[in-house]
Amino acid sequence: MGINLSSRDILAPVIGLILVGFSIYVFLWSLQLMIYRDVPSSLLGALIGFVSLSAGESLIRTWSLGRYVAKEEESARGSA
Amino acid sequence: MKFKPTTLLTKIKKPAYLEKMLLALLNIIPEYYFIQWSMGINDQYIKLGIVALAIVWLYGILSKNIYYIGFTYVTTSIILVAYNHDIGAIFTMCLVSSIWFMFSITIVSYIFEKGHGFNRVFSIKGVLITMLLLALIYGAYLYTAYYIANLAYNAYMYIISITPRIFQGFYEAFITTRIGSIILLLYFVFIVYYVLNDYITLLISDTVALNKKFAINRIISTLRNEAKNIYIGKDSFQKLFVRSFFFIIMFYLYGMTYPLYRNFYNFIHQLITYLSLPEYSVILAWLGLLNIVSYIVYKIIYSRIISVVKPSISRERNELIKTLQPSVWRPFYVFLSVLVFYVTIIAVTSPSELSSIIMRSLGLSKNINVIYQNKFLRLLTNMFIDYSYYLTQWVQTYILYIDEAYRILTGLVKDMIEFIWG
Repeated sequence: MGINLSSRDILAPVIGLILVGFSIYVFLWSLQLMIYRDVPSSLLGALIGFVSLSAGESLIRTWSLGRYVAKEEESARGSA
Repeated sequence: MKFKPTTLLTKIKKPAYLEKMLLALLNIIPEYYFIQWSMGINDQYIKLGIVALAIVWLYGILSKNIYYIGFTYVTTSIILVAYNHDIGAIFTMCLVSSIWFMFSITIVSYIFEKGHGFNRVFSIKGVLITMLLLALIYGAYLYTAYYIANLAYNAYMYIISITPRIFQGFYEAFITTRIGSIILLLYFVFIVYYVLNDYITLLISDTVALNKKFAINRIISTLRNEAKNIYIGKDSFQKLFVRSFFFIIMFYLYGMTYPLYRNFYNFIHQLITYLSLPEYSVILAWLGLLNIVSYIVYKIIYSRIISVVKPSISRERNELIKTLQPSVWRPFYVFLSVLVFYVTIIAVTSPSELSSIIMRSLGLSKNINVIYQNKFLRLLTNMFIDYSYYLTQWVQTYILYIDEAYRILTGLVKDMIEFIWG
């Protein structure tokens, strides 16, 4: 039983991955700022990194959860 | 085979009382000695405490609970040692009487509860069969346990040769000394005991006493019970696994939290000298703290470890979605609210520098040498740099403390064991 992947389905994990990548970039840059002793900007960068990391991670998790539910429903329909 | 109850049996209506009376009689001598020794202490409060502990002991006997009895023996021993009694004699007495209590519980429950005992005990044939079975089964326990303990000893010796120093101290204290090997042997005796007691002893006694059909039913019901126990995490092996893991975790956790305990101990000491209370209240407060903390830690860790050995059964789909859906986005909301809070603070304290801070934090503006005009931002910078500087020092002292704690702990265990058993 295959699952039809529309373009909308693939969008959520891609955005999630982009957010995670962005968060890694911001974390590294915030470390660099800490070396420059620019503390306020560095803290802000770290916070932005955490927000985007958790947002990306949650997007990917909800997507995989939704896929699981769709698969279950399809198999339930198939068996019934 | 059918056993007719004798006249003695018909007179005593409830065998449960008889069982508890026998248990109390078997265990009254150690408790009597403990009370006799502690009555020599010239302190009214301690005497009251000993009486309270005797009541706890009685409750433990009546409810056949090992924990209450152990608590009584250990606490009385600690009080006696605190009042300059011989450490070796007291702790040996404590250990031996605890082991004797467990053994007497087994004997009494075997005679009165397991199998078909109550009727059988009071006939000569029944007594003979019971004694024979007991001798056979305990011989088998001891032999098997000795064999497994030997195997485990060799395995541990191998582990010692490949593990780091802190673990080595722990193993050495437990394996290379005499009491360590005795504890190991006892541990395996209990493991083998659980197996034989739960699965084989009952079967033998039932087969001897009754017919085959009953024995088969017993097997089926035992298996069913076992499956249920494993599912709810109350199987003896699961419990043993969790407790042995818990012991090791507590050993290291104590070292980790040792600095906290140390500071708290000093605080209690100062408080008690300020209130001019007697010396032993320090020990009591210390014991109370340890009890509370270890109870909390036990409750937290137990569920974590038991989940490892508990089979998980997948829940209903909708239920899964309902429980997971809110928790997935929770960290995002938390971080978002912190971010909004931080940005608001900066925006309120220095609105002119907000845009440049945001640009720099995203790496869009590469201006390195920034001097903030705002007081709050300068304070934040200085405080954070100071904090980072002191953090390294704190971590260093913390690690020193932990090292000290482990040295004390392993030394203490080793000294105690060597002092008592040589």
